[in-house]
Parts: sequence; structure tokens; C-alpha cells
Amino acid sequence: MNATSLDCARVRERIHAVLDGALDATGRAALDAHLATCAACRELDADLALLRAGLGDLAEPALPDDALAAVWERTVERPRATGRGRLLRIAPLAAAALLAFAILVPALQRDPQPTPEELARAAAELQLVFRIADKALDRSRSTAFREMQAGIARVPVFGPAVTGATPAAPIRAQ
Amino acid sequence: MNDASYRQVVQASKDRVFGYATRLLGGDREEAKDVAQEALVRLWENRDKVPDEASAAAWLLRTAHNLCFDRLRMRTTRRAADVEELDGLAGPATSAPDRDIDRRQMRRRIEEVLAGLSPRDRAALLMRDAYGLSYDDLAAALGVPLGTVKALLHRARERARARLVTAGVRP
Repeated sequence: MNATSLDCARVRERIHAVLDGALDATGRAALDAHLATCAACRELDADLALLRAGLGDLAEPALPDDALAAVWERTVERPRATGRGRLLRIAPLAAAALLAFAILVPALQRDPQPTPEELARAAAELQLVFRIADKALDRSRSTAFREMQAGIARVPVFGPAVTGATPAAPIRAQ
Repeated sequence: MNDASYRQVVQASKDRVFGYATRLLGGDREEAKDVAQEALVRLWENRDKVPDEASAAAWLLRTAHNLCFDRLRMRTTRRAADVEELDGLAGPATSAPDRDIDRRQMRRRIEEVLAGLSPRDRAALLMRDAYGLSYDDLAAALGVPLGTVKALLHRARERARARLVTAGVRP
């Protein structure tokens, strides 16, 4: 502390206030008077001003183009379904539901008391069907239909009851 | 916010959001890219809740901040930024006049100082002193009361200053 009216702790607060643009002219004058006589506070003031200038001059790396393209695709360039379009967009889900129904009902009719393994396999396959449908809904209408067709082709179809069948591989949550 | 204003906000803020995430995640650009992308998409999904373009910039940084901290919490060990990553952030090397070389070296020093701080100190310094966010926005992003945020920022500045001095950087 020196002969001026402010102690170094208060000066420290004021130096930060200057950086925040929150010190009025009177406060600034008292601060300057202290800085003129206190080397430690003067150094702090200069160092913090340098730090502030350096932070304000940081270079920002550019977001890669592929990330920006993905943002547009998921936002303003994402097809918005209305009217007939909406109907067509939910078509894959409806198809998935029908397929699930077609798989489940004959299986249950064939064997009214399916084994736990068969139930597990049926559940896994239904999950797979709905997952494909869900992904398909996220795409444009034409892409959705293409993916749906490809996805259905990959789904193992229930044949005659298979005992001891290995359940489908667990589906990893995304 | 309509399509045009959303595009404008994204173009104006995308690099800052990416840079913020890169620094907060210790220089991991791949992870930062995911975070920036997610924050920008979330702005679109919440465009009805963001009143105007001016507040969108702070909203994006706050969202990126939360996404970064989610990832940092999942890390078991703290990852130090390596030299090449810091070089990338300091800007391209050029055969420029001394003034520009000094500027680049200063940026590099500041990046080193930031990398040595805790993520919270880093966040406070970037949001307030690099990007000029208000104390209100800073408090909201850091999840601390307004009364606390000033003390937190001052401590962060002084810790950064100590590192600058240790590195031999003086005015």
C-alpha cells in the first residue's frame, strides 16, 4: 500500500473493472493515482491488459465444410413434409408395422406357446424393422423408400419354426 | 428465426463455436466438430425459443459449453493439448513481417496459457474476454449465480496472468 487513498486489494478490483468497462471517470482517476506510485499494481494492470488483448485477438479455426454441410442438411435443407408429402413420409413406418404384423401373427398362430428363444428373436427382428423404418423417416422421401426396400431385404424372414435358434445379435443403441 | 436469419447466425458463429469447443476439449478437433455441429442443429430445433439473432450467439456458446462439459465429464483422464494442435489454433504460419510473427507467437502463448487452465477458467476467459459475453450470459453458461461469476472470472484472469508471467510474456 502506498500514500494514495486506495489499498492494493481495492485497486485490484478496479483493474478488473476497467477490463469490464465498469469503472467511471472518478474511479479511473483514483486508480491512475495509485498506479503512478505502486509498481506491483502497475504490473498487474499491464499484464491483465496484455492478456485481455491476446484473448481478443485469438484466431478461430474454421468449422470444416463437411460439418457445415451436415448442419444444413439437418436443418434448413431438410425436406419438410406437408399434405401428401407427409403421408408419403409415414409410408415406411406403416410398411414396417405391416411387416411386423405379418411376421408376428403367423408365428403365434403356428405355435400358440412360443419358446423364450423364439420370442427373443421375434423381438430383436421387430426392433430391427423399426430401426430401419426410423432411419428411413429421417431421409428424403425417395431416399426413404430406397433404404426401406434395401432394409427389408436384409431382414431375416421367419421360416418354419426353428428350435434352438440363436437370437439375432443385440441392436446397439445409437 | 426463419431460414435466412438462421443461415446468417450460423455463418457468423460457426467458427467461434468450433474454436470454443476445440479449446474446451483440449484441442480435440474431431470431438469439437461434433459438438459444434450438434449445437448449430439444436439452435434450429429451438429457433422459436431464441428471441433474436443477437441472443443466438450467446445461446450457441452456452449450448456448446454444455455439450463440451458432458464430454469432459465422461473422460476419465484429462487430455493435454499437444503442440501441433496449439499451432493449428494460432493461425497459419506466414513469411510475414515481424509484427505478424509476434502476433502469431502471442496467440500461441495465449493458447498455451488457456490449455494449462481448468476447463472452467478457460470457459470464463473465452466467453467474457475473448467473445465479450455479458455477465448474465456467463453466469447462465457456467451455471453459477451472477454474484459468483465476477469472482470466478477475476480468479481465472489472475491464474492466466501468472502463467503468462511464468512463460516470460511481459508487456
